[in-house]
Amino acid sequence: MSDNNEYLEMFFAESEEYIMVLNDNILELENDPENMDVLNAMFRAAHSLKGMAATMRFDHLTELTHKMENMMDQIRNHKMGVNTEIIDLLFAGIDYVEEMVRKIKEDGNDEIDVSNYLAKLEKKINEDTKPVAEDNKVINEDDSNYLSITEDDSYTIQDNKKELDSVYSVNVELSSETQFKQVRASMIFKKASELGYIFKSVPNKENVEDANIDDDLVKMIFIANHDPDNIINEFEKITDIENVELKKIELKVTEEKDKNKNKKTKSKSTSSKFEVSSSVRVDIGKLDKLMNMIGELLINKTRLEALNIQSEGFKDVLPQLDRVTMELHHTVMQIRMEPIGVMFNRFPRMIRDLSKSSNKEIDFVMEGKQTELDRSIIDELGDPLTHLLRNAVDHGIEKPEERAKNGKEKTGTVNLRAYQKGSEIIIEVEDDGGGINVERVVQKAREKEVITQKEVEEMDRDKKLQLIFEPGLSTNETVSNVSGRGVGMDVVKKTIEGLDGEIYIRSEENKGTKFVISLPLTLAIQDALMVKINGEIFAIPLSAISETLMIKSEEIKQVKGYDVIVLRDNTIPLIDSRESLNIEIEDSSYKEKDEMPVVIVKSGGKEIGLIVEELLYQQEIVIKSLGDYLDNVKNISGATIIGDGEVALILDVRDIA
Amino acid sequence: MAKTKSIKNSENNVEKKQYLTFKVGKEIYGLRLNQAKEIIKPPKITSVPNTKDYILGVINLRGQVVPVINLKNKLGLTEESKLDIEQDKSKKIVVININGMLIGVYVDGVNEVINISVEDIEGVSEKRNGIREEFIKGVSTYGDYLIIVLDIDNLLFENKEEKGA
Repeated sequence: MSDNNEYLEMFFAESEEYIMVLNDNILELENDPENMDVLNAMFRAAHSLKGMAATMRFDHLTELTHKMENMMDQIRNHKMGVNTEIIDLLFAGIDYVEEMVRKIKEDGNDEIDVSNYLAKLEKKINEDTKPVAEDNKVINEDDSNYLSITEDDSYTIQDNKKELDSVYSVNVELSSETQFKQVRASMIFKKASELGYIFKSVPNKENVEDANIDDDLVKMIFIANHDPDNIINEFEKITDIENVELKKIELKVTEEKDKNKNKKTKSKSTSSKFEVSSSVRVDIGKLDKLMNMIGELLINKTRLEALNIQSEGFKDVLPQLDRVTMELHHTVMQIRMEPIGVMFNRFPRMIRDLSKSSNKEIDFVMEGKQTELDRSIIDELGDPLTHLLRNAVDHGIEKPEERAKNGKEKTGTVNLRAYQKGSEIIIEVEDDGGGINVERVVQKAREKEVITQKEVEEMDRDKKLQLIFEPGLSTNETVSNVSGRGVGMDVVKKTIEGLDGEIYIRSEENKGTKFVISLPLTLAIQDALMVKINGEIFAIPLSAISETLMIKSEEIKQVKGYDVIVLRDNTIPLIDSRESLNIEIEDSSYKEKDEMPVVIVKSGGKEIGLIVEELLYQQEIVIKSLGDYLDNVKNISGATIIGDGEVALILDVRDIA
Repeated sequence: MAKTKSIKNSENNVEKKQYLTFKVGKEIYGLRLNQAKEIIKPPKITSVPNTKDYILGVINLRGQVVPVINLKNKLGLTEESKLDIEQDKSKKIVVININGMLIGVYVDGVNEVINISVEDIEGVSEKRNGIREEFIKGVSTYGDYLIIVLDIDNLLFENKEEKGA
């Protein structure tokens, strides 16, 4: 094991990437067993993994990847076919690779016993390996002296050759006395390139310089728009050529097969290619530090602005400073962004396994993989999304028979989509399964004494649904009788809220369930509206605000004993901000004022009117945590430092209603 | 500011540990010097709603948001209104570093750094001046004073759930 941490870090980062490529492509291969691009990508990933593991002296991992690579190589060379058994074997292999990498991370070694698996793999390779001729129908069976092409090759040629081109198998024999076989061979290739092009050859055109030319023979599959005599003539012009033999090959491409091929190509995913980009790997910690420093810069800039110095130079330099800070912030934000697909990619595999083991038919659709999000948020999202997707498969989608009975398509659909909406990223997990029985959720909540009967009576259906996020109301017990994992939805909600995000659920019985998660684009810096509440300054993130307005006391209406305002036909509940902050209200009530500022905030998928003392100004704020000692303060999500160096608290409006 | 008492008996230093002493109410308290990070003049404290009453609020310590607790409230001594706190010039905030977490402790005044050997700290088995015994490591005499040595860890994290929120 290496004592060099930096290399290890790189090893982890890269192996993660390769495992992802393997996982991605194996799914693709399962759908499209003849897609050699996919297999090649997998082969390369396994090969690179092997190389890295060998350098780092992780012998188990090296051996494992070596054997897997072997198998893929056999398939690649058409010595083995692809079937479910092989796919499953490869799946298992990838799991072992993942396990080993995890073990290296945790224990520093890769000592996992995979001898059983390796034996199975070996056995399968030995059983299945057949000579080329048996597995792939060779078209020119009769004359083994010529180079042959496989069925697959003929499709490739068919797709690429021009209409008038013919395909020839050509053997060019060099005079046995010639001193410069390599030179002559390259002349043959040169001539061939003039006449047409070489599909394949022995020796290979690229390494003819150091190849051994057996039997003084150069064999090739050659495509050209010339008649055979002409070709023989041309080759014979080369010095030291003993003999030229040539045979025309008819491509056997059936119409039916052709159609298949087209269909396949269409469904081929472009993502299977392993792309190499020119990038630098940076430790996320360093980016965090950079972000913090920009935060400091921003705070100091704000303080500088607050000084309000009356000087021409000062007035000149301030906008400049403003622009540079903004751009710097923007750039670092961009650097921290990553497409959410890097995390989504683990899910198709998971859904496949889950649906297989639960005997459900599931169409898993992912949308918006390119949506970019702060890296630190992406890292945190893995677990909650896994949980939601698991639930969708385990408890959401019904068994095929049950679906059929309810007049639904046998195959259920699970959607995972991400998109940007304003300064927020929305992630939705949606299934078209059985939905959630609200009354059972309520019943459970009553049993667990999460709410009182009186509270239940005041709740609408939507609010009742959200009870599912309460601790102790594990969905599996509530919604179906299938026993499941212990982690509850409360943990999911906590994680999302820890990211300054929000989650809510929509569900209709027999139609399905949809979880909507909204997240800030980035955690560190946000635009906020500064307001005054009870003499203190508070910040409300702009992303949570839909509008601000002044209302007159006579506009306040009463509905079921609560204050509301009617805004463009919408009834919006009103809340005194001091109430939600537990501030003692001395001047009896806001209602005594003639006019009061109201901030309409989005809270739990709804709008709430928050009455404040005064609307101040809009400002870019650097979000600071209140620290571990004060985490989870009700209705406060953090703090920021304002112009005069004081701390202002950030209002958390998500649960303020 | 704290006067550092010269360490004369350095040969005995191994057994002795340095304590920072400070005043809260009428009593002198001590905490291990290596737990104290710095002593600052109280800046403007922003009060945080929806927190326990001994949480005075948060301050800006060179860009970092640090919570401040009112030791008097936490120890269950007479309460003091926030206004009084900000007016008294001798009052200080002792910023302590506990498991990498910075927490400000509001005190009435900082005295000095003294050496106390471990044997000189007598355990207490019952409430002292109404202070719960788990907050106290023991008491020690130093000259004419009686110093109450605090167990900061227990004081701030009585149990795992006990946080300021």
